[in-house]
Amino acid sequence: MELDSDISLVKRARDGDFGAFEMLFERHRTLVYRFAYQMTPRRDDAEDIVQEAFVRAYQNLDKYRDEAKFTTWLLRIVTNLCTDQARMFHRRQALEQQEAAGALDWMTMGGFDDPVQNLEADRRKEALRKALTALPVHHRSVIVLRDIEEREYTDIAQMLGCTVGGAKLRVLRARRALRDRIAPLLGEEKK
Amino acid sequence: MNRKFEDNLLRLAFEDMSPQEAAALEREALQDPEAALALAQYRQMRTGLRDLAEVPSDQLSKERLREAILARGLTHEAKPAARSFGWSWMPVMAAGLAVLVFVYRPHAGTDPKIASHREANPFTYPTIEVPPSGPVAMNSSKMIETAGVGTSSASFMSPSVPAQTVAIVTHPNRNGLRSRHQARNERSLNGLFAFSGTGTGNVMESVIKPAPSTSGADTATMASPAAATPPASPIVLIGNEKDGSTGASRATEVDSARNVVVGG
Repeated sequence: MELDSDISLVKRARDGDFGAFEMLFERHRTLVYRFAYQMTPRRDDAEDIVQEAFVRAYQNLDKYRDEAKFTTWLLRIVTNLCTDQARMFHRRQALEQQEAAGALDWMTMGGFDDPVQNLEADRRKEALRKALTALPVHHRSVIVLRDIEEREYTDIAQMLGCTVGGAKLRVLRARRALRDRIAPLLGEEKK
Repeated sequence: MNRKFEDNLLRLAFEDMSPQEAAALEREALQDPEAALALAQYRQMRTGLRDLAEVPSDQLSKERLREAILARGLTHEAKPAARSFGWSWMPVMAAGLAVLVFVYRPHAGTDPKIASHREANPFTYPTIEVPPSGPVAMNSSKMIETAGVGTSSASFMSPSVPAQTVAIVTHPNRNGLRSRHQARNERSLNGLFAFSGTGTGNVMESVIKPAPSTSGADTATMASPAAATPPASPIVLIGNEKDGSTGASRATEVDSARNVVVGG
């Protein structure tokens, strides 16, 4: 039902109905934003990615083929944008760490509503996010899609342009990589 | 704990196994403390990842998106190029077809029948304008005079010969009978032309002699084949003699244009 609805909105948008595209934006912006936010550690960066993704989607509406879900196609655009953005981010991060020494992290790393009670949980979450952010983009994207956004393997396979088995293998490799990164933290906690 | 067993523990922690496989593996992992610890860590990792799903609210808006799209000049207009092309080629094709028809249309002077006739008959005829209808007015006395004296053959053949001296009657003979008067006139004309053919040279001959391929259409001697008089159409010859009762010039009808000479 949703698939049909998305397709009809896409057709209307192709015919010049910008309101239909705005409906698509309203419907899927949260999904795209959450994915982008997991892929980038900054909210404003994630918002820029979301906006750029929808602009590119609008620009390439004629290339969208109806056999895939609109959200799958959209997340594929976002994945590519995040890959590009990650490259730039690593360069920029190095410069910012030199200049500010991470003094502004509290503005971009999410809220601390109750630091006293949630200190330990937030520390773990922050550590996990940092480990996730430190992963290569191809690992990070599949972890976000499968383990955070809980997408089906079939959708992941369509986004990545591979088979379902290939998608499962990529997820497994990404989990291994993440496990290796957070193992010291987990061992620390145990101690 | 080998790598494959560790991978299976990962799958178990992230619930990527069937329930039967999961139950069997979990029993096996609980018997091994190291495997049980690893499984617990993986489950903790999974829980932590799920907690990451909470994200701060965004500040995206439709207006911001619209501005970004307009700033890049992106529009989707209701214009499908393929559909408009489907109609636009029609007038172009029609115009092209009209030009082709105009260029390759059959020329007025290139009627294939006439062209083949001309090629087969290089003999040229004097061109005389013949109205489609109306009497043929031939001054037989002048004709005889000209032929008999043998003068002015050039002027006879000249294009400057006034065409108004010739008028062909195309109305059919009502009863198809010829009067004795007509027959006499024809005989006299035939004799005259036979004489002129021998006496005055080839000018008269060339006029009178029918084309080789037009033996059945003798009228071709007076005009182009296109203007040939049908055999049933009589020709009225108007002489100089005046009718006593009416005072008008005497006219005679002949069935054929053979041996008729036009003179002015």
